[in-house]
Amino acid sequence: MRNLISIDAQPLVGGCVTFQPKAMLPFGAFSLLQNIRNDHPGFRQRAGQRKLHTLPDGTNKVLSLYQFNKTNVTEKHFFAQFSDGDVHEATSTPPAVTTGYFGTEVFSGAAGQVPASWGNMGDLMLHSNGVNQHQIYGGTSSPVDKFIVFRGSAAIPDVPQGGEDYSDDVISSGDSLVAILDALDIYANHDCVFIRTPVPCQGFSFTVPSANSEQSAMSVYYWKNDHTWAAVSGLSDGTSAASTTLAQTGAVTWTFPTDLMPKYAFGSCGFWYQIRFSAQLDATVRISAATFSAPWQSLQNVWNGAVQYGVEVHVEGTGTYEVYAAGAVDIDSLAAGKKVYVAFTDPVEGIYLDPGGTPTTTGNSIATLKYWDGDSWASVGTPTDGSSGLSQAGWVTFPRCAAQPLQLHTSIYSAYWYEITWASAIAADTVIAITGAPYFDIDDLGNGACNCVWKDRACYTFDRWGSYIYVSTSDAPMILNGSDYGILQAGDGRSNRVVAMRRFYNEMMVWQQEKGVEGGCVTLFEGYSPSTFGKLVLSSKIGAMNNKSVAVVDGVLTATASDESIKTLAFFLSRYGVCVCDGTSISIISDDIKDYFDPVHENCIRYGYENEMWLEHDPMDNVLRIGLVSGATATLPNVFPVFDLVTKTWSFDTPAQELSCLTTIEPGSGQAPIVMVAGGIDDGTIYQTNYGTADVSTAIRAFIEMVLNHKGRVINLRELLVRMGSQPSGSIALVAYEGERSKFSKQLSMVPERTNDTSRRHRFNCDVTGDLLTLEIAHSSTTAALKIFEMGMGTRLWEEK
Amino acid sequence: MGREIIGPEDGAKVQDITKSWRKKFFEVKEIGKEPPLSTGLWKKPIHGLKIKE
Repeated sequence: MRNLISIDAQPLVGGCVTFQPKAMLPFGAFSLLQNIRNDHPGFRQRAGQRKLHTLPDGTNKVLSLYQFNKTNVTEKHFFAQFSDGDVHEATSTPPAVTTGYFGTEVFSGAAGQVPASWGNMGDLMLHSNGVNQHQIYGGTSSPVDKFIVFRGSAAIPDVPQGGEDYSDDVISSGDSLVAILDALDIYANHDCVFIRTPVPCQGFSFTVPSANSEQSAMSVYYWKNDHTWAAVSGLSDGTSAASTTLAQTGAVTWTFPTDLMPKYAFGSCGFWYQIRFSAQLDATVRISAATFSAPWQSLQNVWNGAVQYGVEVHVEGTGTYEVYAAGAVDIDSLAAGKKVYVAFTDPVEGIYLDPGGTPTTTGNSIATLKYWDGDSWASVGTPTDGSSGLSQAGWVTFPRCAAQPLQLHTSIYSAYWYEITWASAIAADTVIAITGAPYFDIDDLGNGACNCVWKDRACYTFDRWGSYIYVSTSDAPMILNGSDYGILQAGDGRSNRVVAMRRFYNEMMVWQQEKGVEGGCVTLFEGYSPSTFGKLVLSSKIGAMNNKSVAVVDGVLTATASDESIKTLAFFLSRYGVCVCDGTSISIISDDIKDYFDPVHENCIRYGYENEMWLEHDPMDNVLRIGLVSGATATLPNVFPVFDLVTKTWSFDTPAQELSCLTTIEPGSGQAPIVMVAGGIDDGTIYQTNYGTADVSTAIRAFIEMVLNHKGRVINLRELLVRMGSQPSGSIALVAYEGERSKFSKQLSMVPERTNDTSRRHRFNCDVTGDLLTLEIAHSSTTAALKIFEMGMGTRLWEEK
Repeated sequence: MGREIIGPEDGAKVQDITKSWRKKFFEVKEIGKEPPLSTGLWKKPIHGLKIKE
C-alpha cells in the first residue's frame, strides 16, 4: 500500500461533468455541483431570490423583461412581457418591492408571442414580439423634434414652409434659449405653432419662463388620415390658469387619436401638430422647453421626405401618347381635358408640379385627378392645388387612395399611375417637372419579429420574408425607405427566419432559426451604411433558439496554447449545444454536460420548446445562466445549468421558483449599480435574483459530489480535512460512498471555534475502501450560505502489483 | 419632344417596379468565401486534482 495523495488541503475550483459516468472521471472531479458559485478558488452557495411584488399575475409565464432607460433625459421604465400577450410596466423600480401587482398594463398584444426583442434608439423604445406589428414607445419627456412659430400673411398652405424655427432652443430649460411667441395671433389670422414629434404623441409639456397674461385658450390639431387638420379630443391644458393659456409651466394632454398620419411640412415628413390660440397672446411669451409623451404604438413607415420623380409620364396626343421623363414634360398648349399620366413606384398623396420658368400666369385649375383602382380610373377626391393652376411650383395634395399598379399603354413598367387633366388649355411653351410624395404601408412586411439597434439605425425583421433585415434610415426608426435605407439578407440563401440580432463590436451578429437537418445560420454584418454593408456567414448549420437565448459578453478571458487575451464573445443556445462565437468561428462549450443535447439521452432538451429556453449573462457572478426544457414531458424550463466564465466549467442551479428569463437593470434606489431580475415560468411573478440566502422562503440546498477514482485501482480514504467559511450557526453534512453504498456520514459545524474566526477547519480519520468513492457535501438553510474553501483527502492505493 | 408609343421595344422586359422598399433591391456583398480559421478560444478545462506518482 502506498500513498496516493496527502492530506494537504487543495482549494476547490472548477465544475462538474454530467455526461460521463462517475467511473470515467479523474480523481477529485465533480460529478455534480448544485447551487454553487466559484470564487476562484473556493466554492460558495449561490444567493437566493425574492418576489418584487406581492400579488401574482395569475399563472402567467414571464416571456421577457426589459428596462427602457433614456439617455438624454432621466427617465426609466421597467417592463415585463407576459405569456398572455400583455406587457406590464412596474409600479416601482427594483429593488423596491411593490405591495400588490407588478404594475399596470401598457400593451395588450396577440396570443402566441415569442420572447420579445427590445431596443432603444434615440430614446425611443422598440419592442418586437413575433405576432404584432413592431411597437415603438416614446416615454414621457423627450424633446420635440421641431418647434416652428408660424406667422402667416395669408391662409396657411397645405404644405407650409418658412416660419421661425426654434427647435434647438426648446430642447432644455437649462439654457437661456427660448422660443418667442410674442403676440402670436389667432389661426384665422394665419398664426400658429407647428410641432413635429418622431412618433405620434398624446401630450406636450411646456416650460414657460415668460408667461402669457392675455385670456386665450389653446387648441391642438393633428394631421388626420382624411388630409385635414383635426382637433384632438379630451384636451387638458395644464399651462392654463384663469382661462389664460401658457400662463404657467405645465402639461397639455389629450386622447391619443387613432386616425393620425404623418405629414410632409417644412421640408420634412413626420408627425406634425398645430397649436392654435383663441385670442392673441400678450407681447412677451416665451417657451424654454417643449417635450412630448407618447404611448406604445405600432411602427409606421414614414416617408423620408426626398421627393420621388415620376418613373414615366405619358401625355395624350392625337391618337397616341407621348412619353417623357418626369423631369421635363412638354405640355405646350395641351388642350383642355387632354390627359397627363404619371407613374410612381409607390402610391402618392401629393404630386409636386413645377413649371419652372414657364408658369401659366393666368392660372389653370385642375379638372380631374384620378388614380387606377384596379379596374378603372377613380377620382382622388378634391385635390388642394398648391401650384395654383401651374402659375407656380407647388404641391397638389389629396387623401390616400386604394391605388393599384398598372402597366399603362404598353409601358414596360408596372407602377402606380395617376391621371391629371386641366380645365383650360395649357399655356404655350409650358414644360413641367413632376415629382411625388409617396407613402408606405408597413403591414406589407407583416408582423414584427425581431429588432436590434445598430449603427444608429433600427434593424427590423418581419414574419414575411423572415430572413430579411430592414435597416432604417440613420437616427430615424420609422423611416424604412429612401437612399439611406437598406435591406440585408441573413444566412446562406435559405429563408429561415431571424430569431436574434445583437451588436457585436462594430458589427451586427444575426442568428436564424434552426430548421430541419440543415439547421440555421449565424451571419455577421459589417459596413458603415446600406451601400457598404457586407456579410460573412459564420455557420450554415448552427443557429439560435430565440431572442433570449443569446448574450454578448465583454471581457471574457480566452487562453489557448499560444495566446491569452480578453475578448468580447457571443454565447448562444443552439439545439446542438451551448455555443460561443468570437466573430470568426463557433465552438460548442457544453461538452461536459452534453447529455442535455444528446438526442439519445433521457436528459436531452425537448424538441418544439425552443422558445421556452434561455441564456443570459449574470454579471454579478460572471456566469452564464441557462434555462433548459429537459426530458420527454417537460414543457417549461426545468434544468438550469450555469457556466462559469473564468474556469469555463459547469454547475447547476435548482431555484425553488423556476425561472423563464433573466436580465440586468439599473436600480431605482440603493447602493448597488445593477440589479438582477428574473421572471417565473408559471406564477406571474417577477423576482430579484442574487438576493438573500433563500429562494423566497425555501432553503437553498448547496450540493457538491466529488469522485475519488484512480485508474480502476482500489483506493483507501483514511483521513479528511475540510476548511470552510464560518457561520454563526449550522453545519454541513458530509457523506462518503463506496460505489453507491453509504459508508459514513458526519455533520461538520460551521460555527467558529474561536469568536471572530472567519474560517472553520475539520480534520478527522476515516476508513473507506473501494475502486470508486464519492464524497457528498450538502448544506441547506434559509439563513446561512455555505462557503467551502478547500479539502484534503489522505488516500492510499490498496493494491500494489 | 417625347417619344410616340408604338408598343414595347423588341426584347424589352416588363418590370414590376412597385414598392422596392419591400424587397431586396441591392446585393449585399459577401466578405470572404469562408470564415477564417480559429485556433480556439480556450483549452478544455481540466477536471480533478493533479496526482504525482
